[in-house]
Amino acid sequence: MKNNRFVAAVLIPGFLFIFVFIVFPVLYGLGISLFQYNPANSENVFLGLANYKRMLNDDVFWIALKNTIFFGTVALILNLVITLFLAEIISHLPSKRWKTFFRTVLFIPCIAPVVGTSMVWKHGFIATDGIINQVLKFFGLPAQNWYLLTWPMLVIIAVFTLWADLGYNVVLFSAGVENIPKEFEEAAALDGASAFQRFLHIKLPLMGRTFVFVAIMTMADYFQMFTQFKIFAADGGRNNAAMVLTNYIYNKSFRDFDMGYASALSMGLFVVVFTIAMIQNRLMRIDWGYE
Amino acid sequence: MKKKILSVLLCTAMIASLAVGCGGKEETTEESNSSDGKTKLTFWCHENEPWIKSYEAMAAKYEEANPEYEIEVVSYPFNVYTEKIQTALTASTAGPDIIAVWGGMAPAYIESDALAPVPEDLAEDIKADYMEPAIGVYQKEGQLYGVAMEYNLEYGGMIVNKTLFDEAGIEYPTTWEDLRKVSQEVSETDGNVSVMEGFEMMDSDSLICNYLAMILQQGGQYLTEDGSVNFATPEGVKALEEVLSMVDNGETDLENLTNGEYCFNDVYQGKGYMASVGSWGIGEGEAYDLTFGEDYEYVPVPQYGDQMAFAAETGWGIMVPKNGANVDAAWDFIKFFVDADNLVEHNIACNQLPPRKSMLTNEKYIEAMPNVTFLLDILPDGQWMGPYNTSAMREIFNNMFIDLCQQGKDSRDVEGALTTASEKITSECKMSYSME
Amino acid sequence: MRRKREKEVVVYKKHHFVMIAFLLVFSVIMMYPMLWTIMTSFKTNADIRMNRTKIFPEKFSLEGFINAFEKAPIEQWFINSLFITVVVTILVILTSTFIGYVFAKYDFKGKKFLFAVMLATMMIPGQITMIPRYLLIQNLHMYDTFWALIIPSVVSVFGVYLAKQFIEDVPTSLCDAAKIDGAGPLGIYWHVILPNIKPAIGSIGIFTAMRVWNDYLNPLLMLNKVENMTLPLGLVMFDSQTGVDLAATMAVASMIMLPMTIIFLIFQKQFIRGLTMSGIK
Repeated sequence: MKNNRFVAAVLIPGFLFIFVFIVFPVLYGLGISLFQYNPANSENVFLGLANYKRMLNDDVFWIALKNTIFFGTVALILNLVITLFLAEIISHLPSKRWKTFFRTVLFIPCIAPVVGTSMVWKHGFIATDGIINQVLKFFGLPAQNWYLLTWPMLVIIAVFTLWADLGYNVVLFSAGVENIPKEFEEAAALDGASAFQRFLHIKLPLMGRTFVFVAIMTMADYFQMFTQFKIFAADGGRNNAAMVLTNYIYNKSFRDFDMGYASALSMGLFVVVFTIAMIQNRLMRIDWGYE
Repeated sequence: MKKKILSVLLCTAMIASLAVGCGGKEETTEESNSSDGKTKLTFWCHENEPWIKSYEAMAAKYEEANPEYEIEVVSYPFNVYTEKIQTALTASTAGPDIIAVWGGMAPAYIESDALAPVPEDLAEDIKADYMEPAIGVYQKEGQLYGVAMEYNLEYGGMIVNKTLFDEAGIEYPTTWEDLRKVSQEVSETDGNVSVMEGFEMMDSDSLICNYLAMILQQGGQYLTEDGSVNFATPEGVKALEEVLSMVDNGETDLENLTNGEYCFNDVYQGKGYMASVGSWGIGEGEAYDLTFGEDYEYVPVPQYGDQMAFAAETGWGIMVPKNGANVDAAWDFIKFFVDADNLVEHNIACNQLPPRKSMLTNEKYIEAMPNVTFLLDILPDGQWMGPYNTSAMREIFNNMFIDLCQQGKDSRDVEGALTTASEKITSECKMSYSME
Repeated sequence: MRRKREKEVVVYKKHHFVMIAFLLVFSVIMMYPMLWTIMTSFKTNADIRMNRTKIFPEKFSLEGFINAFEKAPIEQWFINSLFITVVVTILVILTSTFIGYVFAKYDFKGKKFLFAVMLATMMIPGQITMIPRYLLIQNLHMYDTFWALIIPSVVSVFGVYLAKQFIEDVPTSLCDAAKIDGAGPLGIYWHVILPNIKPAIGSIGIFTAMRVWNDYLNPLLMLNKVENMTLPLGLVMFDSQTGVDLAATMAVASMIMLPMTIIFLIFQKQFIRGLTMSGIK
């Protein structure tokens, strides 16, 4: 159909919004990153690329970058493995009731706001008289002050994140698994393939599109995680062991009001996310579909 | 049907325009006077029940004397308060008119030029009557940008759990040796977590204050003549080794330091015997439904060295943002607030120490606060902690301390760590502007 | 048209019991934090101090809830959250379907290019633009108003993408027929497109509503006054007195978790279907 007036009437305001609230801020941020910028000051000094130089020499930036990538990849892989496994098991259950029941239960943590559940974990699990230490005690191990330790904090946050959003992907994968025509699997079963082989060689490739979609969404999400980091370890934890870029940017900009430098960090994060997106784009081109 | 769609669209448009309109409107009502013709002043403070009550009482008293003003007290939890103030100072439109601020946070605001300077007459009064540590941090290039409401002293007193002491049949220790002995006897640990703590000073407020006092009491000094910091003196090393041994012996743990909580909470919860804290900690017992004198008491921390000495930071004070709509009125209120006769009521209500020399002998104060008079006696012995951003200084110092604790007794290099930390503090935390 | 559902014939084999047992254990672990939260909110603080890990309170107490309501305007936070969520969700559904409709059914110059540009903006995460957005909101004088959260979220590129995918599947012949009957672009949108993409609308609605309801970062940046806060932001404010009043914190936490959970349990079929739709498309 053609109707240029209507198209313009919809797209012009639409794109105006996108420009003002998504594109323009990137340019604005790029601009700020060249200044020593604190909005409370009446004058802000132009620094050129000094903020970027500072970033490359900033140990905390590199730690945060490393943690962001580590968290993004490890948690993503674990998430995909666990959720695929759960979705697969659930799909084998003989009764629809059980299927719905388990999917619902697994989904409940996703419904609750991350702020709320983080708070619960912080007070109930990580606290020195919390559940983790009780479990250690049960096994006869000494109690720990978790805030004193370095990498365990990042691991705890990763476990929390997995707990908090397994349900999403279980539901998504379940749909993918159930959509595969039964004949494929039955044929393979006749050929004597084991359940694991059937899953790996038949089901997984057949649900390729779902897999790619889920992987991309989850990854994009994990590289931007903020809330749980802010609540578990607002200052980045011991020796910044749980510092990620988003939290570092927040701290630099809204705690220290060093917005110029924080904007430079944002651009750093942008480069990371962009690179990841490019890699994903490559992966997307692999033809997984079965149509 | 088409009409229906159009009306939906119109509605959307209206909501959108309303949005812009409302946004603007809300700001303007805030700036202008309140409906009954009174000028409204907004006073920001952090969440602390007795303090808020006292601010409100002060506001009411001022309103009575100046009926043309109305003061609204707005409070925020401490852990988001810094961010809130920064945002308010950033805002192009009027935010709060008056901000209560912790001295340690003040340099960050004073550094920007978002604050209104203290009017001359008030500044003169303060320079003449305030004790040095209470003026300290609010100066910039000879100007004052804030007025302290208290003399902040995190050294000198400790909350003791009377119940625990009575049950154990022990007296409160009065000498340093005694303190360490009691502390060792009563403490218990599990892993690197204390189950019962003896003497506690491992939180971000107390640790460095006690440590500095321990250096000074040996006749040492951490501020060098060129204004830099040096902890790596013989006195500094000796004092830190003493402090480290408290953790090594399991008398206390690092939980409060790592979690950003206060030691006295443990004492109130029956998980510790003694916790060093400023006099303000006395009021916090109410949150646990405990009674002063029955369940807990506040007593002197035994002196470590031969002479009484300590360093104090500038405590809670009041600032006025330049972008406020009623700057003059705000200062007028502050003048009223820090007038000795009014301030004494606030100090009493919040268990604070008075910042004015003339208040050290204030009868009303002494009568109301018999439990802290022992601190009044030592106040003149204090020095100002120095022109440093003490929040940043603490962070560096505490991190160094935690690292040392984790390295274990035999493998650590106390002097080396102190040297590195001193250099880092000198280069990173010194204020970027001059005091005079 | 509706076929009568055949009754399920369920045959359990041995491995099914193993699976069910495993999943049950897993579910208990998954639900434990939720249970602990709700139970803890009914404990007294003294009880929590004694042993915070046990599940059941010594005796049920409403102390936490009473303190929570006394100390914070929770009902106000709830209303704020609800208002923002509803408004943003409706607006996002409207803009997504409109823009998606234009991209799916209209031909115009530069269509491919514009759509690609739009998709490209999906790669810009909000965390990267938080500083400029904050400054922008300050300059627009929207700071500390609900509009600071509503206006920037009006257009969701993901929503547009999803809507476009679904609208493309609506046969163009239907649109043409409506056009011949004299319907304009809005008429087609209302009578042909919308009724045919209900699942997509549900999906976009669910995604948006959950994102907005659970959002913490944006309210953290854009809101200031206590009475303007949303539930997630309020909860963090509330937690300041850590350890001192854990019962109240957990009371607030369970109050913020419950409404969504209940809504989910009621509409779980639609929820899960909507979610699945987005994954398959």
